[in-house]
Amino acid sequence: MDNVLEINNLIKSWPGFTLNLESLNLPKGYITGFIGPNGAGKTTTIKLIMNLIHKDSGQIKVFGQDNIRFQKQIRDRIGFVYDEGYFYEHLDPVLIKQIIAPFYSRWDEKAFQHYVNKFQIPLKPKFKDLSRGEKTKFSLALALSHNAEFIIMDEPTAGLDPVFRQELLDILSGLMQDDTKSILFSTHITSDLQRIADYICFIHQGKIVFHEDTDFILNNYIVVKGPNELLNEKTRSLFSGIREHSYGFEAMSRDRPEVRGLMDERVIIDRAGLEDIMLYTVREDSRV
Amino acid sequence: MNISIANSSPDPIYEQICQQIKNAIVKGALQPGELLPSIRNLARELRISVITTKRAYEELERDGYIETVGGKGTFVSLHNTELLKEKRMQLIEEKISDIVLEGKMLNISLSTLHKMLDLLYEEVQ
Amino acid sequence: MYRLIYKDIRLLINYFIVAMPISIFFVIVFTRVYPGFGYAMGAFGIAAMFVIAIPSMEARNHSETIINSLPVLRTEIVRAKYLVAFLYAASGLLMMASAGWLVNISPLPFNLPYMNWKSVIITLILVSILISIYYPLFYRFYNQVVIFLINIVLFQLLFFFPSFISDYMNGHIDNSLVQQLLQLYLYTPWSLPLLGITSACLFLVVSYLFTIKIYTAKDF
Repeated sequence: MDNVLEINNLIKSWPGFTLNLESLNLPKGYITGFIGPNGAGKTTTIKLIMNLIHKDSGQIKVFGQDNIRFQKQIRDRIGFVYDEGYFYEHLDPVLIKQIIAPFYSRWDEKAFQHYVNKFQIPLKPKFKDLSRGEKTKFSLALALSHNAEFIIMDEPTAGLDPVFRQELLDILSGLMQDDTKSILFSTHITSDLQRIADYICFIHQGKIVFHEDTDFILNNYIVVKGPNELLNEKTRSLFSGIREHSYGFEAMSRDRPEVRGLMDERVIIDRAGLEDIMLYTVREDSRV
Repeated sequence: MNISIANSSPDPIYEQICQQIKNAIVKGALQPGELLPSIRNLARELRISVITTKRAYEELERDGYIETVGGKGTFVSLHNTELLKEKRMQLIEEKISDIVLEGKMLNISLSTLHKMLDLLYEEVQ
Repeated sequence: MYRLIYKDIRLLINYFIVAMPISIFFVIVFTRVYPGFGYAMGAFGIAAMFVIAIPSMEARNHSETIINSLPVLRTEIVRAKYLVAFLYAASGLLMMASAGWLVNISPLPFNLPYMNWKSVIITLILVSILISIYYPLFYRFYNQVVIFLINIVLFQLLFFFPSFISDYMNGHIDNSLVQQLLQLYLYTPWSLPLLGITSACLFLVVSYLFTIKIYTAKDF
């Protein structure tokens, strides 16, 4: 399978934080969600891919090409949507587009107009006067109007209401109707990803905790709750992020069959959502 | 075709989809040769991952319910008549077992049941 | 790279409009304060305004993040910055010349001298020195406070530099170096401007290399 992104042994450190990604391969044609708590390294990774910051060591390949040697060609094919606006505050969207569009070799003005209408982006006000949602939609319209094959989004839904978030997710979903585009979507709002992501990569404290397909995660990760007496050395090894309280324990496991086999009917087994996974994993890491 | 996914169900989502499509085919809601939505289209409509729908279709194809024609799409299997017939027979057998059980509980004799069957066979069109 | 130049110009449209009345003010005041090179100081003032405006705005806005995410190389960005400064110098000169002409044909009671080649050369040299110092410092420090201080120091230096040199030379007319320079100018009037231009070019090249190094190594 073709990978749109290949990361190997990527290391970037600064005081107090080190990003160390041993291996990350994103298959082409799918949506990969990049989740993790704030400060986990999501934005750093994205900036490294875009070559906005310099790595200490390691290799990043986009479309099979080294992301530094071929940065111009690669960035021509990438559409990006960042967290903050970062566009020129005192210019209106039309002017911003007029400045940015010429940089792309495959700019599609018709597509831009189409998205402006579809997203109902106001064109007259200055960028700083647009609402958060309108700013994000505008970024997205730009990102989608130059025939980009890889869309990278860094926390695009932060600060947006659930209605708009669903709209955005539907838009992204609509883009994936063939396998020519790939999306990397970083967020700490897990419910968004659960709905559309094909693969989930969970990053915490600069390391990849897991990278699986959503289907597998939803079928195998479980939250187990039961009486404390059931916890012994053998059963503890199955769990992570155990919380023992006065009335019992709760923990997460990625081994549904084993748990079913070892524990009796006194436990409650629920499917673990991405948010649960994040919480239990963070709890587990803070113990160690 | 109607597919509804229960988030709270212990069954994996792909299995729920498989089950519902199988039912639809067996009951005739989906006709042999009918075009099914693409895996991506289905994923989008149901708001789930493409991998899940892919898996569901793969299993359905393995079990002979559907087949993919390269470049054209995925269709309900034509060569399925034998399988379908078998499935339908199975359904009928299950229904008859239910009737027999009910009859036994109410102490209805086999000959009475026979008579009821003959009567209804004439009436139902 | 022309797209980058276009970008900077597009961003500055507002400033261009403001600069026009300012050039009228400059042309009246500077031709008196700096006799002989009033136009140069005015044009330099305008160009300096443009040169300083965009990098600060982009830094504040974090627009550098967007620009560097586009399919463009860092070396191209730096090159465009240096080139566009000369466009600013040309705009400044044009505005000053127009302003002078306007004032002279207007009913206002001024009779100003016109611009000459000397002004053009001095403007170019001053702008070169400005960007040679400003760009590497700006991208190295990238900090509001530091940049503000640099702006002030630089501005003062460059604005008073020519007059300082003039006054010094007039005051120390017996100094051997001054005498030598005057002799040089008398016999070969073109040598002084040539010296100025060559030094400015040298400055530019060195500065350009420094800025490329700094900008390429930056993390956004």
